[in-house]
Amino acid sequence: MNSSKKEEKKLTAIVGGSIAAAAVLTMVLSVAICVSVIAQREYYEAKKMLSLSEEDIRGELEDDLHDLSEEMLIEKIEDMVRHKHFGLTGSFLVCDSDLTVCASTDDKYNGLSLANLTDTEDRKIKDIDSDAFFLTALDGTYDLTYIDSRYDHYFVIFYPVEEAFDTLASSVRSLIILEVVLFPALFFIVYAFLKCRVINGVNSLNSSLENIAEGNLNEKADVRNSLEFESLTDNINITVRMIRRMVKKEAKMLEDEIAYARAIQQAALPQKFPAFPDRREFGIYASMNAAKEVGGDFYDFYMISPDKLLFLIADVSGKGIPAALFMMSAKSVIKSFAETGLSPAQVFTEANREISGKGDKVDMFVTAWMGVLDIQTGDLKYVNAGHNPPVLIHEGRPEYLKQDPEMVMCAFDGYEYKQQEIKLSSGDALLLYTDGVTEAKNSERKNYGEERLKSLLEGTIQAADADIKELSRKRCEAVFDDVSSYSEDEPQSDDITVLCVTYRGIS
Amino acid sequence: MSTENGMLSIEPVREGGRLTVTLKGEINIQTSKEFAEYMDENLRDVTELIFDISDVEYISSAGLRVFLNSQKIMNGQGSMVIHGMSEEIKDTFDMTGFSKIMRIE
Repeated sequence: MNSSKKEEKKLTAIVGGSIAAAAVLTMVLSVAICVSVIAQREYYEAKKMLSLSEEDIRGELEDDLHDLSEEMLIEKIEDMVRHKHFGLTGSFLVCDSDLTVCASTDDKYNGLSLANLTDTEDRKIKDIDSDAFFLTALDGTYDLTYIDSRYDHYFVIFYPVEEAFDTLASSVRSLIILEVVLFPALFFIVYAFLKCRVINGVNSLNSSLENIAEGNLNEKADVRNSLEFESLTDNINITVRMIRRMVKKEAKMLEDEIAYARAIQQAALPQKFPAFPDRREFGIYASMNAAKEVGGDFYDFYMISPDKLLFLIADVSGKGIPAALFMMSAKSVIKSFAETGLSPAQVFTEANREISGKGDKVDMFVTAWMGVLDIQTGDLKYVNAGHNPPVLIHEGRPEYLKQDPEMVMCAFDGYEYKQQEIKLSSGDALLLYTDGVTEAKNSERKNYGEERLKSLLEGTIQAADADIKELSRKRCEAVFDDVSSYSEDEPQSDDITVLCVTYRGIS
Repeated sequence: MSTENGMLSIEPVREGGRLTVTLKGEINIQTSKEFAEYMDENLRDVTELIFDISDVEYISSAGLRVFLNSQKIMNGQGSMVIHGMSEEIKDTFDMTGFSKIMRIE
């Protein structure tokens, strides 16, 4: 919102500056006009005064004095002059042809010579253009003087300069007061108008654009108080609509691609169950629920010799397509080493060497648990690369198969894995899972935890209940059901994968 | 400093070659990116790296990766130690084998 403050300041400066300039200009102009208007006014007033007097007198006397002589007219004028002031303090004088005052306002100057009064030579007075004011000093004060000669007489007006200036000053004063009131008012009107029409519109569009820039594509610009703003508003809205359409299209494309990736990923995991329908010695079942369509979990199982079953579960750190791609690569690397007949520990050591470089580039690592079960003897050789400990269910009692931890894969090139060995009895089962199970969150953000998994596996399913192929499936499904009822509607951030092997042997 | 759900604060103190990084909050898949970037940019010339994770509630696998990378770098230029690890996080470090290669005190 800083920019709008700046805009406002700028507007204030522009409007204020231009109005102040206009005020000064108007002031100068009006003073000039005022001076000339006042001067003109006084001049015309003086002229009017004289002619009006003449006509008034003629009109007044018309009835009984048809042929009023010039002498009588002058006498009448002289009478009038005695009681008249020009302006407030100005005087009228009537002089005879010798320029001696024969009548004057208040009879002040009667009998005096005009030349003496005005300190001007007679000849000069007689030459004066009767239509102009000239400056004289009457009685020591400066006066604007107007002389009109007719009927062999001189009619003179003295208008004190002081009064003329007083009139001017009072006019200018009212002008200044007017400007002081008028121009600020004008400023506020223009400012309010501009702010309402322009600045508010720009601010509103700016805040819309800010919202859009922050990714809110549902924002709609709406400033329609002028044609320009209307077209700007429409253009912004059209642009946003286009972007929204494109984003939607891209999202749909990405969604489709993720769906394909998921299909490919799922296809890479063994999913046909029962997996080995002819094998009566064991049952195996596994399933994966990816959190974000494609995940980094995986499982695998296959016979590496007629009586050796290999099964593994793994979790690639990371999610989405990169994790899925890395998972596919890790899965095939492990399989290629496993099929050469190496021991589980050797498989992990070699696979780790192979994929370590790749993991460094993409910043991922893999936790994995892999076992090789001799289905004749029940011997299980396994290796754990930093993965969650599986649950061994022996005589119906589940226990975590904990051991000295080994390093995750892809962390250290050249790490030498060590393997462990146990012997399974008929009826034993092994449940493998990823941390999506134990770290599933409920609404209070609490983990599902190892304890809950263990107690779930404790009672619910008895080995004698069903055939071992169904038993593995039931155990896995029980885990999925329990995790989903624990987490209710909480969105899970991790893949959830479970694999179960139930062993019967050849009995 | 608040440690809202899903937030991570990183407070470093550098004294010569010793860098102490105090972490608070959750090191999840989102915040670990910021954590990784910070470590990438600030390990130059560090000979003694100390993490204090007393106020860390959770470390995801992506977060573990950052500790692992830091350990790899510090193997070449000095030492690294992690202080204040909770039992829960210690279990993760044990399980993934990280405890074997890292000094945890």
